[in-house]
Amino acid sequence: MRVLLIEDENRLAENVARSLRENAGYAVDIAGDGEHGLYLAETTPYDLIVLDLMLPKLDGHSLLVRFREHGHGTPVLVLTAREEKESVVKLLNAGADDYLAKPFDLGEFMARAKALVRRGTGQRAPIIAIADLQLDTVERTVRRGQKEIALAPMEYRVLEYLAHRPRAVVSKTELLEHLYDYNWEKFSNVIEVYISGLRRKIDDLHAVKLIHTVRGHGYALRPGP
Amino acid sequence: MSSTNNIAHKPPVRTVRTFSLTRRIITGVVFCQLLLALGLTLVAVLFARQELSGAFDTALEGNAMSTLALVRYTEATPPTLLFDASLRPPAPDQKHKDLYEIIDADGKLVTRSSDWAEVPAVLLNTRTRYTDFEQGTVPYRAVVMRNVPILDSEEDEPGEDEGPPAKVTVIFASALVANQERLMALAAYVGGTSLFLLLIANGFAARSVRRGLNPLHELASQAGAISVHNWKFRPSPGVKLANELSPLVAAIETVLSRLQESFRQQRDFTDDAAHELKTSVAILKSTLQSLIHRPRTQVQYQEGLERALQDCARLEDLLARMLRLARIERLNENGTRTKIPTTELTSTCEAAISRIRSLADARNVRLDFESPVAVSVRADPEDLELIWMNLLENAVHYSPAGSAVKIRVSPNGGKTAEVSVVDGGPGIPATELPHIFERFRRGDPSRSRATGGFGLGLAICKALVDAYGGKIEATNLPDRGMQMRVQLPTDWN
Repeated sequence: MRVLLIEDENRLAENVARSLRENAGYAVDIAGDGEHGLYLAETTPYDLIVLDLMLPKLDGHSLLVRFREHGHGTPVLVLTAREEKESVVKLLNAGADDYLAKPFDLGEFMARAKALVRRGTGQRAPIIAIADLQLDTVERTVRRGQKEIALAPMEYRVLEYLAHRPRAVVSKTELLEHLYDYNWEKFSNVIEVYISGLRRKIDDLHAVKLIHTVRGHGYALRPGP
Repeated sequence: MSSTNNIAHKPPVRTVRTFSLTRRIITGVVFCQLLLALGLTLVAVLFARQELSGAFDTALEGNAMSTLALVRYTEATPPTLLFDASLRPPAPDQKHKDLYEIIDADGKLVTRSSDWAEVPAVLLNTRTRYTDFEQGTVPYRAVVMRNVPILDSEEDEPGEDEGPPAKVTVIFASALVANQERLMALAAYVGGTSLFLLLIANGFAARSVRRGLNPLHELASQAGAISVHNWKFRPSPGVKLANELSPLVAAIETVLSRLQESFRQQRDFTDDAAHELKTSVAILKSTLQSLIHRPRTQVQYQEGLERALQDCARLEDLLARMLRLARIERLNENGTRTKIPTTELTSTCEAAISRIRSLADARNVRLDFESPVAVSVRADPEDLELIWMNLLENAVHYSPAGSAVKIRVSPNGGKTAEVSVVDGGPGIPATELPHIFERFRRGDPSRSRATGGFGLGLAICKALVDAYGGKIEATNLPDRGMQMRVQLPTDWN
């Protein structure tokens, strides 16, 4: 999962980004002003956008209006220091999916962020089940049958992304785009390494294989071929 | 604390007597009308008196002549004069009977009315025809007719032997009492009627004054309805078109728009201040929360706590600046600063430069200071240093690496001294220029945010300069850089 954080307050952005990376395993890009934020939001496939309202160059509200006008459906969580009812109403009507008033609780922020990411992919339940595979997106644990499976952080992120789009074929490029932020060099063979690791840990001892390679297209997480 | 103080120091309530405009106006009207009635009565009485006295004199003369007609000659020779009192008609006013005396040419008394003991000397000696005098306490008016010939009415043609007719002096007086009573009655009549009409007229006047003051009541109720939540003030045409009220309406409208503007500014300030405070708290909170979210190593905790301390310092800085600004602005409002020292400008500039030096070095910005002459202004050295610090900090932030910030002190003619700070930046958009001294205003927020600015520095500068009766202005230089000019009075009273 990849998140865009548009926030001009460096320290706050750092803290929020660290929390998103450490607690949810999300890739995070930070934009320091509205114009840069809008550019990134429109050119990169994010799973969630966290938007501060008071921004230099282009304020958060105008950014949101333009972003939605251009037809983008990415979930947007707005951070605001003003709690007046009208401004909240204005925000939601402009296309925000949720908002949090500063100073907010990081735990609440993470919960809302995860909920929005789930909603963005049509997954409502925090525990995603595919056959006997269970993925707890809150605790970030994976079990198959009764057995808990220990995954490396990147392996979990790949599996989580696939689990949010069950049965669909997800390309390597899509995986790369959603799992890494701009600061990482991207090599597609890295994905193959994580997929083979996942196969070994999830499918090896089971008759029903869940991870499938669709040649020339990508990967899919589903009970059948 | 402060609220209890306020109650304790409340001035004692003085009872002030209120007054009614309606009553004042009506009192004025009544007074004028009273004067009018009085004048009218006076004129009427004077006129009547003149008319009456003319008629009185004619009647007096007539009475004198008819009394004279009762004098005739006796049969004796030579004939003497005889007065036949029995022919006199009875007096209409028994109390104040007419008085008369007739004397012949030799001064011998022919007749005198029985009530008249002695004719006053003033009548005997007078040369005028009519004379006023008092008989007892009663005012009388007399006619004195001298050398009136007595013709014998019974002789158809006077005989040759009789010689010239005898000549007498007649004095006839009537009491003025009746005349005076008539005058009094007239005065009472005219005065009474005037007063009665005055009462009726004032009833109407009071009514129309009350009705005339209706727009004033309307204005009052509309002004009373104004509050922070309702700035609407739309007086009806009846109020607006009244010449007497239109200055008041205009004044209320002006005051209202100023109040509304200052309320808006206050609200903006509160919003901005809340935003900055919340953001600062949000940073601190997020730093601490991200630290305790998962187990950390000793070193990570150490780093995290240091970050939290930095966040606290930022919050403290914000609070200090806001409080400082509030304090200066409060001082400005109260307008009282006593014991202002005279301060040399160069030393305060140098102090500020030395404190900003490390920041300038870190950003590789040169500080050029030029102070050709020593100039002193009336200001507190600490306040001056704070002004220069804020201006320099701002200038250094906006100057790219390798450029220079120029500070120059100049005696500006003598009455004021000027300090100018020019940065090496690109200047700021002309639309921003009028706003840069507003609180929480940032020319380019992303840049000053990155350096920890709150947009309070220039607002503090302006408040301080205002406090010393000076001027501060920002201009873009034609080639490059923005210039801040501070002018302070050298001898400020």
